[in-house]
Amino acid sequence: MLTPVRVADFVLDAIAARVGAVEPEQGGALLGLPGSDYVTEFIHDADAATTGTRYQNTDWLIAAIGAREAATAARFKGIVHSHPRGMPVPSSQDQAEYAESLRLNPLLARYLAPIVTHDVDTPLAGHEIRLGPARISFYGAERAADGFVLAPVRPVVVPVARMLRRAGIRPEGDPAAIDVEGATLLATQAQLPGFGAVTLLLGADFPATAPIVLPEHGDGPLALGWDLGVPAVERLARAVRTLRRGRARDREERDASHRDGAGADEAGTEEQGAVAAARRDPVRLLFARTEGILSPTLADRSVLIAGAGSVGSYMAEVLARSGVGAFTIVDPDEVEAVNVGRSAYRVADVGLGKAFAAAEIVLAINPSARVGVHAARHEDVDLAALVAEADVVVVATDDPQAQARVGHFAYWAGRPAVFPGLYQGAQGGEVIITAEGSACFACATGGVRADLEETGSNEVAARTDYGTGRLIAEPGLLTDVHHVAAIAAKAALGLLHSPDDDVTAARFAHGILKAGTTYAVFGHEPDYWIFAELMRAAPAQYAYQSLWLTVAGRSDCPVCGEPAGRTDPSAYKEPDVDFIRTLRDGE
Amino acid sequence: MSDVERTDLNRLRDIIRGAQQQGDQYPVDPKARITVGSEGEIFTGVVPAGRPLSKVQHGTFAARVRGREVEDLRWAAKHMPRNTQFIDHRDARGWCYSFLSQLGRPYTMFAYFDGSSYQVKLVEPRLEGQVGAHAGHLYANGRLCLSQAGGSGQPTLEEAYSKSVLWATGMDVVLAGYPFPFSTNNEFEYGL
Ligand SMILES: [Zn+2]
Ligand SMILES: [Zn+2]
Repeated sequence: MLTPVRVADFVLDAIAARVGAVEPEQGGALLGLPGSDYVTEFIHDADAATTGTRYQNTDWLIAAIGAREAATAARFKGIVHSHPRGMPVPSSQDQAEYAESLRLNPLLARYLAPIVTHDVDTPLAGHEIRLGPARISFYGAERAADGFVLAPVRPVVVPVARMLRRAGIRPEGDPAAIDVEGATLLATQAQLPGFGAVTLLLGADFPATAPIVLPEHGDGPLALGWDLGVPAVERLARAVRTLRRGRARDREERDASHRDGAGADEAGTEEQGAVAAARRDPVRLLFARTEGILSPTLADRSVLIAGAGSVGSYMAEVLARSGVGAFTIVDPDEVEAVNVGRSAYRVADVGLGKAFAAAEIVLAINPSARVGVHAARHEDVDLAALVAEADVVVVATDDPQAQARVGHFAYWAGRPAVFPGLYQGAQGGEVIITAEGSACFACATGGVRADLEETGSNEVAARTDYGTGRLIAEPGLLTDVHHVAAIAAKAALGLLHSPDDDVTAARFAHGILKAGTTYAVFGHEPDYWIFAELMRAAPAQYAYQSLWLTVAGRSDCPVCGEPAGRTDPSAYKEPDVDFIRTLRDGE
Repeated sequence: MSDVERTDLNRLRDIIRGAQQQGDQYPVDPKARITVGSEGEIFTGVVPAGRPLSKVQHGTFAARVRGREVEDLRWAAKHMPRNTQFIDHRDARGWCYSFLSQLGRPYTMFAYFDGSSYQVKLVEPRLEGQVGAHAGHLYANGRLCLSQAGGSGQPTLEEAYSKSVLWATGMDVVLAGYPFPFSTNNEFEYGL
């Protein structure tokens, strides 16, 4: 039985960055809430005297601990330090120091002494967790009749930073311990989208209980619904979503009562009314500028976006602004700083799941949109169900196998799909459109890409990273990425209409299907090789250029061939190579 | 083997790269063609008569979906190594086969239909995650990259099997410390 200690995830992140990312030895102090085994702070002792096997804390660290204890409610809990590979236990020198610390700190019931090592290959025991490139092994020293006993301690990670990120809350710093009327809480200032600056107070029993959220401008805490049935890491995100919906509804009711005459005697009514109307129903107002091009029925349409990178995030934004009412967004990744230069995301989104961040963009444009979020890979979601719910599928992933697989599901379910893609650092690109009767993605790419590759001397498809199975990201200009994505978005908007809808977008997209020209290639550079090759003598050419090619599916294609010969993608699963070995060895 | 020219690697490479540059997936000229025998042998030039052979798709490792062979099992019995076993399991349905590569290294592979094309996984030797990322045309989960587009598979079992044999010889070269020889996509790695 290992006595547990609770550790906030941001403390572990800090230890990983300062101690775990460098070779031994490094160390620092752990602080936490008084009177409980809860670690909420790490102070790195950057200038400690270290040898290859020994860490000796500095006087600076002792002073820093004293200063923190004076300034906040946090109390000293112990020392974390690193050891060379293969030594994940405290040394006898360490143990002598624990005994001395316990003697000097009579208020300390248990001295926490985690050891960080860079051994990540051996299995983890109950008192250990992975820390990126390292592992951390928790120990605690307690007084005993004859000195002290050292025992492994089971760490329980409190996902504070992860829950805030998932909920779209951006704290100004790591939460710090403060004293509020005798209770110790973790507090931080934060930005809560839609509510502005707030103070966030987290109790020692968070996430079992809800945090207190105090808006800077407002009267008292926001009432958060707190559903213990929801997994801890999703709980805050769920509560914030519900809160935001509730507020949108309140505003709607208030605006409705204004319309009913109550607001008639207020000053500036007309202008206020327009603002209120825009907030209430952005989609309806939108059609003042797109009448005859798009139909208001888009509000009832649903799009599945697989992949929320530079192309997917842009498409989510454009489709939301164009009035599409429902979205399902699937992407396993988090926004990274390098994504900001080429996607719809901002620096504040770094660290958020891309699917969540894209959902935020959609909801910021249209708070009444219905958005489903799956921070997961294509293998880990029920694609058959997601495709069935969608009217159009946008395949914007950088994983060629995912493209083929999602495309297969879409074709099987009879849903039109749009596949935007970029070539060679976005110097060129393509948009492939599939729908019942057209060539499927595999037929289109198998034929056209090979032909293009053979007529020109250049590669069309981007190179694949055989480690991740994904396309290797190349530098490319945002406007070039958007050029392809914008055409894909226009096609998707058209396909969200029925073929006989009397609007321009429908005629555009369904015209492509009717003509069979479902494979478009684009050039973003003057004399881009496809065009230089195919339209050599034509005068006055310059970027941007496009060609809409006719592609044919094969009658024996298992995706788009004769209906009787088609295969159900749900019936196939990629076998695991270790499993194949087991089967073979069992023979 | 006496009446058949067993090719050297440079010749194989020249044929494949020549075909890729010509854009010729199935060259007509026997001298410009590679064929795979039922035990993993690779032939160039005039092929022996009366033996089951598989034609190799000479294009870049790129998919051309040609439809699914309905007679896969029968075809496999005739054209794939004698040790081929059909594994019929809910989580892994396909053909497990072993052969010796051109350099004499034993390879065991598993070919399966993934719903839209044929994929091959490398069972032995255990190289997944070991071979330099881009050089080997091998994914971290053991799947061979037999094509550049559309999910790395081949349209028929014949093409998947024959290309896997060619791939094995390419892997021999990679394991010897050189770039993968059978793809123009690796050309830049030669510094040509
Ligand atoms: Zn030590
Ligand atoms: Zn097809």
